[in-house]
Amino acid sequence: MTPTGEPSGTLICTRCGVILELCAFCEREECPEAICYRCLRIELGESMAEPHVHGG
Amino acid sequence: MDGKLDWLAAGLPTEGTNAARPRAGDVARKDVPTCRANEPIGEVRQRVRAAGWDACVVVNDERVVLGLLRGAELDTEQDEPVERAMRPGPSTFRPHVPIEEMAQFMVAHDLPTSPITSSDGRLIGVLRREDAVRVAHEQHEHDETSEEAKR
Repeated sequence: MTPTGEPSGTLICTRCGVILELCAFCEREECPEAICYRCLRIELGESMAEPHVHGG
Repeated sequence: MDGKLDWLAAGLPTEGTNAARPRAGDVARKDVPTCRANEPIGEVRQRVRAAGWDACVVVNDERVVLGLLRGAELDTEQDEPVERAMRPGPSTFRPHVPIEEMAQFMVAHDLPTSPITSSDGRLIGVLRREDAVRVAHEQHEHDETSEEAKR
């Protein structure tokens, strides 16, 4: 068990700590830099809001 | 085209201070081999290796990405159809992601290739880690030279 109570070997997002089945970037279970899809989107700038809501 | 993000995600030209910076879509190889889900894996492997690649993108008639065959998947039984061996629904990335970020992530996650698609899932190309790292390094050197010139 880890200090947070998770069984050892559980994959955890290195940014927000959420439990993962797979790393959202490399899709591997044994990734040392595992990241969830939400954090990945933020880091790669894909969750950016529309630059102008009025369009144009 | 729905908005500016879809414009960027389609890899269309942009203007402004960051327009000249290399992005995933600029560096992605457009000549990546593709195959269909019902093809025999043995034929695909032969074609892919003959073209000097170790990865193949599985697409449908509209060129929408269905799966990915990397080295390990390409080496499965000859008679298997591609759909039995492929990694279905692989993580894909949009072409407007800065190359420095892609390079950093691909190294940290030990990922040799990443498919680059438009926001509707159509294949644009495949980004290879060595290409991403090389271009990111060149960009870094270019930035340093520009900074020194300003001083």
